[in-house]
Amino acid sequence: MPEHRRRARVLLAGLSLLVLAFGLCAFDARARRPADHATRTALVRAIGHADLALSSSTRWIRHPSHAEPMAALQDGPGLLDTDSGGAWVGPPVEKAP
Amino acid sequence: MRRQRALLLFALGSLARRRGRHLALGLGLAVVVGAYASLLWLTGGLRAEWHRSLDATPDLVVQRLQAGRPALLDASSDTLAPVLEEGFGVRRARPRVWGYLFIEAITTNATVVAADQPMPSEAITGEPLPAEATSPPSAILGSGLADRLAVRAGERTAIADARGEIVVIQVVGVIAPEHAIHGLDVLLTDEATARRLLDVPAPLVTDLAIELVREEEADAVVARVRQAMPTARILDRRAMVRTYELTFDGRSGVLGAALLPTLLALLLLGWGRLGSMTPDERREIAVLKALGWETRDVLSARLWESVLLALFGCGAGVALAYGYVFGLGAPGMIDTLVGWSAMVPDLQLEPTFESAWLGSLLGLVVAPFLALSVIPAWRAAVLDPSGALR
Repeated sequence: MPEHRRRARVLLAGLSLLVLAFGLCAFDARARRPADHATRTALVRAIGHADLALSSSTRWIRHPSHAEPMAALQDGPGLLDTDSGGAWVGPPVEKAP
Repeated sequence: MRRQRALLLFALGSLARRRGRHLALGLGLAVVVGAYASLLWLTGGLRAEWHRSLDATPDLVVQRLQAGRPALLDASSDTLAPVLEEGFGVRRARPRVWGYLFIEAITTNATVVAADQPMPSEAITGEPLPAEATSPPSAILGSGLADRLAVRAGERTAIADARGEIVVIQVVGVIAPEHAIHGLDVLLTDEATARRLLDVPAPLVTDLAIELVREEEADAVVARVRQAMPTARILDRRAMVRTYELTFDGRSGVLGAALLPTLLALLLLGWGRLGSMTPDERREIAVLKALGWETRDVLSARLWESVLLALFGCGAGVALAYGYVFGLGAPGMIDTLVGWSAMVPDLQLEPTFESAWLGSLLGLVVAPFLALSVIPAWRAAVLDPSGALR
């Protein structure tokens, strides 16, 4: 078999392996899609918070939307958020000191 | 087209001839791409999990600040009650009693919630909470909490309330482990028991959850509440969404920054490997040019080598990242995002894909890698054949 044909086949085999790997990932992703969306929504409504129970040790990890150091208005109504867009982004000109 | 195909096949042969060097480079690329892809997939999975339940959260949450800290709120006060009556944009305002109870025996916090909404029977094993108060009080526990307390549906357990007094609880149901990501540490019980466990006297509540008739009414309702209660901290859903984005984006950003040295090491490795030419390589290029190859042909062949390396390295990295995050549960990486805890849910994240991730990966890893290979390729392409052959 000519050398260039052999190389073309190697390339095709490599590309096929990649496509197969991604196909398997896509197939697995489809299987993992949760079907019971309504149950999950009702559960969250009963608990009252959508926050993820990733850690029960601190309230700012348990309920970041309410108590995280970055949570809105954490220390007072109307205060500027310290890191609203990351510390490199300055506050609006009219509110800058 | 045929020319490029021939150059591509030549590049493939070149990769095979120096397979040790290119394998090391491809492996390095796969590891770095895999690390960044894992981070993106993990953060995206957590974000998607939260976004999926967003519809169930209230439009506004009103808390009271006292001395700059959240404090208990009197929702029935003369000032607040009138502005939250149904109508004027408010569909329903629910005072909520919830909070954290440290259970010393198992050294962890439980999230105690007073039930005011029905729990779906599909989400629990056992029975739902009875409509009337029972003796001993009934509760539904999260799967993690039930495991730690070594109790099952239908059994009783005893825990100390916030004042240290023992409360016997009848566990009527346990939230199924597949919903642990939301209910791992929850203790759902009737209002009187929740008040007792948390030491929240009536009529005080933790916060007020407000459902609006239309989302556009938020600003008007916020203004009314702020006028009635100047110390109110009012969180609208947009603020909560933004906080969540900031939380996980911020943490994954820190981890991403921590991975930068590996990226720099890869680029340095790439520079060294692609930039250095062995005498054999110099001779090969010189022979090719002597045979009539033009500078652009050599440049194209060298660039094809880098493109093939990047393609296979990135592909392998992304596929490995998928297995690491969704197959193995991202051991090691997940801890940096969520920290230590006495109870950790068994994460079953849904894989999500955003085109922006592809842009991030290409921009952060692949583009610098390819850009870095251009200069060595150019140096190889402009080689003087007679000098190199001598």
